[in-house]
Amino acid sequence: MKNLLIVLGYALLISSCAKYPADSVTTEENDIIGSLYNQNTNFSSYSTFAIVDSVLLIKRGAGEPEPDTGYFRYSDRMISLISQNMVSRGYTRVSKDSTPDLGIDVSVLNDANIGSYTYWGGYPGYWGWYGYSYWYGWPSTTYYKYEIGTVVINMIDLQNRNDVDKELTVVWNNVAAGLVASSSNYNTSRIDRAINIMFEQSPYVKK
Amino acid sequence: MKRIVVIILAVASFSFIGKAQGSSDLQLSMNYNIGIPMGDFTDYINQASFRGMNLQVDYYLSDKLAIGASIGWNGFYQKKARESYEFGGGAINAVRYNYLYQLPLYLKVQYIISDEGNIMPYVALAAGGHYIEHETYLGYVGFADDSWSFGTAPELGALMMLGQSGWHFKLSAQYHLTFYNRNNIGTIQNLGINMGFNYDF
Repeated sequence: MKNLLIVLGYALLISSCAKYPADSVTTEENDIIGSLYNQNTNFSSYSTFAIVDSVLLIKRGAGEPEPDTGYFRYSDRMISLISQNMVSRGYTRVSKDSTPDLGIDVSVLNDANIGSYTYWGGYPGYWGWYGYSYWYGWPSTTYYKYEIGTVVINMIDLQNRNDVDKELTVVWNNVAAGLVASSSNYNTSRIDRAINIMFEQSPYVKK
Repeated sequence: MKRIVVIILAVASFSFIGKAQGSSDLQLSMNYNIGIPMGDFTDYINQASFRGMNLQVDYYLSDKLAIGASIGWNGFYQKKARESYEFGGGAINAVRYNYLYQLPLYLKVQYIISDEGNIMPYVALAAGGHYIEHETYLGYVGFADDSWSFGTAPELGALMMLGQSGWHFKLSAQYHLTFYNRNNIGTIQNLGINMGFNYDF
C-alpha cells in the first residue's frame, strides 16, 4: 500500500508537465499595435498635414526601399483612413507642395528581417527632402522587433526641420506588427482596426 | 527543476519510510489543489487554477502536534482581451497572455484541534521558499522571468478517518502569500483548496 501511494505520487508529479491549459490563438490575436511619441511635442501647434500618395513597400535585397507602384492593394485605403482620422482630430489636409506643418508616411515591410529601423527609416528623398534623415527623440529600435508584414506610420515635423544637420524630427511613430503574414493574408478589417487603434491610444494627437 | 524535486522527494520519502517502520508517527499526504487568486494578484490573473498538486510529510511529535514539509505547485493562466497598455511616451495594444507558475516548498507546524471523533480538525502554519515562473505575452512578444521568493501559508483543515485502514481523507484551505514584488506584481495571494488522502505509516 505504501509503495502504491509513493508510485502514484511520482506518477502525478511527472505527468503534470503541462503547466497551463492549452489555448487556441488566432493570427489576428497576435497583432500588436505600438504608438510612440515625442514627449516634447505640442501637437496642437500644427494645423496642416500632407500624406504620401502611396504606401512605401520595403523589400529585402531590393537595394533601396521603393514607393509602391500600385500593386499593394490596401495603399489607398490606408492613406484615406489615416487622413480621415487626422481630419477628425482637427487637422487640415493639404498637398505636399503647400508647405504642410506635418508629413505622414506609411510603410509596409514586405519581406522578413529588414534589420533595424534606422536602416530604412531615413530613406532619403521619400519626403522630397533629399539628403535629410529621420531623427527620433527616443531609442526606437529597442521597442520593436520588426517582422514581415509590419506596417509603420511616421509623423514628421516639417515646421521645425533642421536644415543644418539635415534632420526631420519624427514626432509620432506607429508600428502594427503581425498584420501581414503573406500577400494572400492581407486583411482589410485588421489593417483598418490597427490604424484606428493607433489614433485611439494616442489622444494627444489633436489640433 | 522538476527532476531535481522528484529526486529529492524520492530520497526524502524513502528515508522517512525506513525510519518510520512499525510506528504511526509519520503521515504522507497527496492532494489535488485548486488555486483561487486573491487580493492584488487578481489584477494579473483572476481565474482559478485547476492545475495543482501538493505532497506533504508530517511527523507527529505528540498526538496533536506535528512538524512537516510540503511541496506543491499550481499553474495560473489568463488570456486578456485586446487592450491598450500605456507607458511613458506611448502605448501598446495587444491581446495579453499572463502566466504564473508557483511551486512552494514549505516547512510547517500542524496542530490537531480535536482527535476525539472520526473527523479531526487542524490548523497549520507553513513557511518557505516559492519558486515562481512568470511569463507574459503581448501578442507574440513575450517576457519570462524565474525567481525565488519567501512565502507563507496559514492552513485550516480536517482529516477524516477511513476506518482503521490508516487512510484519511483530507480537506483543507490554505492561504498562500508570496512576497514577490516583481514584474509589477506585489504579493501573490491565493487560496488553495486541497483535497486528498493521508496515509499513516
